[in-house]
Amino acid sequence: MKVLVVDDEQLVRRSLARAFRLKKYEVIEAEDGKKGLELWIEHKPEIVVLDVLMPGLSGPQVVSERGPQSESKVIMISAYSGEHDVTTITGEGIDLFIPKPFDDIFKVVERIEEVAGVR
Amino acid sequence: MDIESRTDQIDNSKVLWVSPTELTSHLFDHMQSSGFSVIHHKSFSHLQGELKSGSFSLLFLDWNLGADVIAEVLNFVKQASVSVGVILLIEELGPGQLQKFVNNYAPFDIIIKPIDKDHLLNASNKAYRRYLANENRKSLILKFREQNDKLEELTFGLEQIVHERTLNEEKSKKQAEEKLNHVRSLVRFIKELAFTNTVDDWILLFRKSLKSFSSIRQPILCYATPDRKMNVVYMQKQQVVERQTEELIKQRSRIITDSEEDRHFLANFFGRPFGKIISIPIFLSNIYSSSEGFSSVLFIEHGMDDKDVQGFLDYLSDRLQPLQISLERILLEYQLRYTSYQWASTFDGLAEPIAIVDFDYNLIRSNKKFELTDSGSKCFKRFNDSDESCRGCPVKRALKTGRPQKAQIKRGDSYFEVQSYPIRVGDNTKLTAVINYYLDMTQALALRGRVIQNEKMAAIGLLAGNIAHELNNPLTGIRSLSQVLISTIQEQQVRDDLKEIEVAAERCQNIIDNLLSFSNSEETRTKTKVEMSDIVKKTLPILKTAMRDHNVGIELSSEEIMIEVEIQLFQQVIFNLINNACQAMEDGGELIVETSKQGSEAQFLVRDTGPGIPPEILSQIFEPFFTTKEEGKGTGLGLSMSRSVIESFGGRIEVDSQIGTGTTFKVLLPIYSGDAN
Repeated sequence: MKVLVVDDEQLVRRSLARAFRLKKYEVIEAEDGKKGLELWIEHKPEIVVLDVLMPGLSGPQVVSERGPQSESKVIMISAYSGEHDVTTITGEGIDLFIPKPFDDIFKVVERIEEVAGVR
Repeated sequence: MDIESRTDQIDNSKVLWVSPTELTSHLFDHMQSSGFSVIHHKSFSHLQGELKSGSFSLLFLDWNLGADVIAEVLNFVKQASVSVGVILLIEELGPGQLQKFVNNYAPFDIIIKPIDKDHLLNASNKAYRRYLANENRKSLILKFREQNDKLEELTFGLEQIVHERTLNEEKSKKQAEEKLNHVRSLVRFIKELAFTNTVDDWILLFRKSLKSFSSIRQPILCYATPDRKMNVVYMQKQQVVERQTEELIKQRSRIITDSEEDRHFLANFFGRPFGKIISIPIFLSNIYSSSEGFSSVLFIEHGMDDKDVQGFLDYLSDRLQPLQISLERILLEYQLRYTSYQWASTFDGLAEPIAIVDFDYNLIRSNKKFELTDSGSKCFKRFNDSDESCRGCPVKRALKTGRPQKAQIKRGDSYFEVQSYPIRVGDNTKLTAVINYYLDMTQALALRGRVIQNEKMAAIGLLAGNIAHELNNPLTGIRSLSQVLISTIQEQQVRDDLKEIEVAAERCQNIIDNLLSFSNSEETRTKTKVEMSDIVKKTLPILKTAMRDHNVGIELSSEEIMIEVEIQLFQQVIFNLINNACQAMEDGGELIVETSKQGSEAQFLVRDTGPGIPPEILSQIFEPFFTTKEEGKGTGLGLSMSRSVIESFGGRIEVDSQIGTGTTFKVLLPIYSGDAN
């Protein structure tokens, strides 16, 4: 099972990647929206974890570029929870929103798995 | 008739000679030639009439006629006061009877017979002279008597005249005195009038002047006021009473008696019938105008008859004009006093100080708000209790430039914006004084300070928000990666270290979380129901640095205490009070933070063991810009803002401080009970 993690914060990206890999997922990482979109199209991962605020394309922009044809489960993460229009992060094509900071990275992974129907 | 000439020349003087014997012819001739015309009678009978007529100068009586006859003749002569010189003719000088005759009847002479012609003539001449002298004396006495009578008459007449004149004089003197008294009493009355200051005095004086008219009752004065009402002044039980009525008295120009209309007016006003009245119009100046169609009138109720009324009006005629003039003066003074009172109360009613000051800072006039002290004549002494002009005073500048000037000056803890408007006083052509208008800017400055502070806080909040977000990302990474590593690494030592990192990251997240809720967001701008202890708990983390040197005791109520506050503002108050307490204890100390229920109020308490606040500044600590902190450490706004915030929540802040023991601040807020859920 493939997981795409798109976040410009390297520590977040790496910790998510490590947590998924510990659970035997194949993890693809991208450090911005543009690269993330390319990898999404190229690898067609089952799960896409997207940061909202990123240089270049933002998370929601990536989702709308990819379009409805994707069968991936999309999880949005953001530290700016209070300042975004809820529709942009819980809107069409988005399956789950998780605000940063995380209290427990493994609980985050478990919730994503629930949405993806893995568990 | 000349007496002397007659003694020299005897001219046919008639002589009566009574003797039984004939007078010898040579004697007769001799006598005749000497001017004596001798008439001889043998007896005395029928001679009384002739004798009495006074036509004889000498009477010769012969002793031979008999003593009785002679006595009878001499008696007659004596009693009838016949003017004649008596000469007795005797035979010899016998004693006794003759002597008696001489003594009784005092004859002029005695001739002893035989009669010698020369002797006779001598005796006759002598007697005649005596007779003449007697006659003269008699006529003189008569004349004297006559003149005396005349004199007496004249004297009587004069006395009469003098008496009459005296009477007249006394009469006119009395009149003059009366006149003088009248004038004197009039002068006294006018003088007394000049000293009356009130309508009360005026009417009392007028009443006193009517004392002599016993059947006059109290006078009643009705005068028109500028606001078209009628003031009625009268006496009641020795007291002057003044009442107002809307009913006006129509204009009139002369004194009238027993006017039905006036009687009606008085009866209406006093609620009793009126008898005889005299209505005297009083002419007052245009302020108390009679030109507007109504009059001021002095009413006299009386019981006099027509004659007495005339006397009274005569008496009044001299006094009416002075009465009018003095009443007019009194009413004008009233008006003046009222006007100046209006001005004074307008000035005093102003919420801001205002003063007129001369070029040398002497206070000319000021209102109540201006004066801090009532001693001294200089404006700065009165306004600021200072001995020198206020710093930045614009008075001199205003006078120098002739234009209004503005400046800000400080009085105690208050700030005033002073506007100085130069003016002329009296006849001066130069500007010699200014009107100073003071605007209390303390509140405005405090508000401005608060606005600045709020903006500052908002800016800090925004900045903190941005920083917090920037920190959240890496912190999330640190914590998450620590968690991943902890789960993968077997080595206990490394796992413990990683655990430390994770916990530190978590603490950082909490701090940021609190900082965000403290600084941020409009949603906390409205009042929200919150639990007080919870808010305190959430604020404490950001005070950790401040509290680190102190022994902190936190006792938060386990009971739920709901309050309704703007969270961010309430957190600022909590922050301010704890931060102040910590700063007060420079060398460390004990800090107590408590929440509790006090009756219907929620209490947040902060107690320190600092040096305490001196009593003299305790009242100032809530004032804006008041600070005891070093420059840069405090704005002097913390407590003032805290108080205004708490008051805006319907609560209050109390402070209790003991020097050397410490200070306790209590925030008391109403417990929220509006929503049972």
